[in-house]
Amino acid sequence: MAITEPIRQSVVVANPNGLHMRPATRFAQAARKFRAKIEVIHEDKRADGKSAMELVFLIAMPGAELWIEVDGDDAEIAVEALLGLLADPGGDEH
Amino acid sequence: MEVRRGIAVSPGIAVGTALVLDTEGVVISRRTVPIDQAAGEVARLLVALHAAADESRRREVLLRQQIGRDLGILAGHAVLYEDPTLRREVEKLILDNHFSAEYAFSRHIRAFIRRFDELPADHEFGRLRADFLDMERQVLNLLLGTATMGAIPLEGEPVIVLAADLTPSETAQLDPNTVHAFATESGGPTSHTAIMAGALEIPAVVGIGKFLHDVSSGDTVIVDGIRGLLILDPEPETLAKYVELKREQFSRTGLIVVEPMRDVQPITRDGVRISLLGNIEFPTEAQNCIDRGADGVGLYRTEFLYVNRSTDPTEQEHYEAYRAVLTTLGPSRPVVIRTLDVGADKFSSFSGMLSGEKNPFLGLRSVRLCLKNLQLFKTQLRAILRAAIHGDVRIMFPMISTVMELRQCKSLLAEVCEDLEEAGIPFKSTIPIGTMIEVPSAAILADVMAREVQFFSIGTNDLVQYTLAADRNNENVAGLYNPADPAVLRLMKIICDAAKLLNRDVNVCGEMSGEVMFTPLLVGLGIRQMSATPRKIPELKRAVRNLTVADCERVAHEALRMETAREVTTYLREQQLRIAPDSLD
Repeated sequence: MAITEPIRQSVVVANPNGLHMRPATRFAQAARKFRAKIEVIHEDKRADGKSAMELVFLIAMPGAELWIEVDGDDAEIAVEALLGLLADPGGDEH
Repeated sequence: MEVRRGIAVSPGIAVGTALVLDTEGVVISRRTVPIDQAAGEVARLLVALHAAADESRRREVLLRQQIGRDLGILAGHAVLYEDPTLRREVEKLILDNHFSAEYAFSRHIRAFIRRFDELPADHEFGRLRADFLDMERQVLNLLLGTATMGAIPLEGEPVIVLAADLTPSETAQLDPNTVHAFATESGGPTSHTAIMAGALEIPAVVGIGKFLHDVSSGDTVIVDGIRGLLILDPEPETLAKYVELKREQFSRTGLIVVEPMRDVQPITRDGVRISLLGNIEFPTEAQNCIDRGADGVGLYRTEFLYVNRSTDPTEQEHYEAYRAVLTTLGPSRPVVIRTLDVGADKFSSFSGMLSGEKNPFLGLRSVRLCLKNLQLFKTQLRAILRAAIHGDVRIMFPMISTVMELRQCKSLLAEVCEDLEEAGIPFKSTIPIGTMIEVPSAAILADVMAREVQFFSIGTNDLVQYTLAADRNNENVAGLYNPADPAVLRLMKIICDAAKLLNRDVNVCGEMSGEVMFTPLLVGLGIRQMSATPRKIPELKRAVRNLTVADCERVAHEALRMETAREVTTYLREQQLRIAPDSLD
């Protein structure tokens, strides 16, 4: 594995219900496709981006600011794809 | 000691150890395995998680086909089952502590759910709790290879099951050898759960209200299915009294080889023979009818054939179930087979056809469902006609609300006869046809209905519910639901008068016919056949033998003039006391 610096980016939760079950499971499912280690940080809580259970427990309400930290050889494409998911208001999903 | 009052739905007394099945799923006790089995437990866990995910995806597809859009909730659950953190942490619990897969999973999910407890009650994320509880239940069911009932030990110390509610299919799985009684917080007197408890002869009290917080598995409790009581933490004197009562009850029913009333005829004092028939659900209950001296089977419910399965029963399965009962009853005792009467209160999971209805009690149920699914209906009709060569079969259509429905059923039956004839399959074409009268429209048009059929059977449970527009399972309005209501009595009079004019038999097969308080009234209305759960037959025989028809007619006449259910009930109690002073407890 190439030695890389982790990428850190902030994003505001756009889904009107926050990072609820469906957005969280969709995020986790997408995250699992990447080799990189993916973490999502909300205030003092940190979740494995590949675990929807950890993601919902961030209890990120709409408008909450999250940080996503990605470390791995496919980190760049991962960040791009995952940021898009969090920034997408989606439907009225929970 | 604490005495809780509920609705007695299945008589009998049980004293024993409580097993609490709370609404939050199966209670899993802490269990460890030998070190060398821990890896095996991990493997079991992974298999179960995988199966749960597959099942969620499958259900999501089914749901989509049904509602025409993606909800994504079940697909979301599938992703949760595959959650790497969940998997890792439960694995760790198993390997570090040698917990069983069940206990480790349950413990982890519950700990996770508790993290949501800090949130305010109405918090948007709080309702995720239900999703995690559902996950817990699904995985535990898979691990235990059962539904909720998996928590009940199959052998050893018998238990008294305490739960918020039990579904009919859960109740159907209770083994009377292991479960000596059950008590639930919700539920009504005539739900299918109650009917099944009666069929299985498991004492039961339902509709008690909240009590699960005050009791734990392992506590000694008493269920009094006669007075409708649940006694928690009984005092020694109470306990002794009930142990004694239970012994008496046992010697009255359980150990007596021959029921003393078995060969006694149900004849009134003025010589009128009343037919007393048994209501049954399962083929094994046919013998109970014989043992208790019933004249036949007045209501053979066939829903059990459809429960707890993903495919519809085959014609052969129907046939075998009917033949078993006919063989037990012999050639001279009638067996009234009721065609599929699946309804919203019974098995709503049935083929998924009923889900999504806003008002299922007024929806596609029973014969309406059959007339929309002709293949399903014809399969049953064919089996009934074929089985009819083995005994005195009568066929009965439930929930008929218009004459047209009845005609459709009859022409379908004729069609099936032709098919069998052409195929050269042996069958009996001349079986009596009857209709249930349980919808007010059918009662009002009873004179027209009488021209179409050979007999009526009044299904009082539904007739009461539809006449008073009161859901019998809703505690808030259950008080309106009363067979003694004058409106119900007048409808019954219309039915009986119409039948009399054309000389048609009328049977009463609702719970009303099993209550001796109503026996004089029913006889007075002109009813000569009653069908009740087999264990009520001896009591009904005694009641009938105290009556004279002239006296009953006077009772019916008086009752029909009354204005409220309360007046009628009070009056009928007085009459009961007058006719048989020792009949009341």
